[in-house]
Amino acid sequence: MKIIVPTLAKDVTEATITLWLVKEGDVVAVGQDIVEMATDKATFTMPSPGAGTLKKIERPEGETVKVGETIGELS
Amino acid sequence: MEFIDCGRLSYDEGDRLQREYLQKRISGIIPDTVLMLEHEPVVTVGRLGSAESILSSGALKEREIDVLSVDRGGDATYHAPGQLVVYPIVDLKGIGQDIHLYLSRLEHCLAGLFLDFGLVTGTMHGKRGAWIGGKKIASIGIAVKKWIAYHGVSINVDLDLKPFSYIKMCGDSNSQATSMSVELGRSITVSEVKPRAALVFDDLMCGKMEVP
Repeated sequence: MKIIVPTLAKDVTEATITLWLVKEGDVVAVGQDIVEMATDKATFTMPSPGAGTLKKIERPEGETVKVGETIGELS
Repeated sequence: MEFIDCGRLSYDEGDRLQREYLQKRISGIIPDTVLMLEHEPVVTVGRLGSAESILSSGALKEREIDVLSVDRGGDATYHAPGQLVVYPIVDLKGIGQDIHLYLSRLEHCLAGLFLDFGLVTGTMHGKRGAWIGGKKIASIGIAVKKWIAYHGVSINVDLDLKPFSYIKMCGDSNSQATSMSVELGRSITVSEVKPRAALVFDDLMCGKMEVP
């Protein structure tokens, strides 16, 4: 299952990954906080879209990502 | 929406309280709740800040002002008694899960509050917060978890502004701070501002007043 940057606001097209709260190989539950991103004057903590193991972090901390972009993958 | 006057707290105490209410709001056992408080002197650096956000760590150390990294958005800011800190713990699902819309509402709350005191403020060149005469009078920085917003705004009512010069506000070393006291030319207390802030936040956040 892909971890995709959600829509944070109607007029937001990108965000910056500020903190991964889990690392590759970690087992995560659905709804568990997994990654934090920042836009404008806000941070947003994203819950896991599913249960599984974090197979790959595709976009590390500090990178700017677009809404709808895949930033990681669960197996 | 409920308002709780938490008095004066250290940053850690205020943060602990805020997280307690955040967890309760996430669990759905409390309604949207606004915490109002003053912090003991401290500099906090948001997620978009860095070591470069501190311009004079020596001056901060001399004044025994700690620097803390926090999980809100934005860069560095300064808190101290004489500044009203407002932490709305609010479910953003009520406004379509739109973080920018919420930030704009907070700005409208600030503008409405200052107008109550005869001060006309606005944003400046796309910089968030409330500005007057090119100086910042209130800051905004929030965090969102499970679509519940926390952190919020800090309103400079009447405090020593010197420590703001030791940090890079909004990532800009040329940004200057001001206060309601300076702009009004009279002393004013947080106790005077607090009830007005509660009214304005309640009206605008609960949709009792149209947001421009």
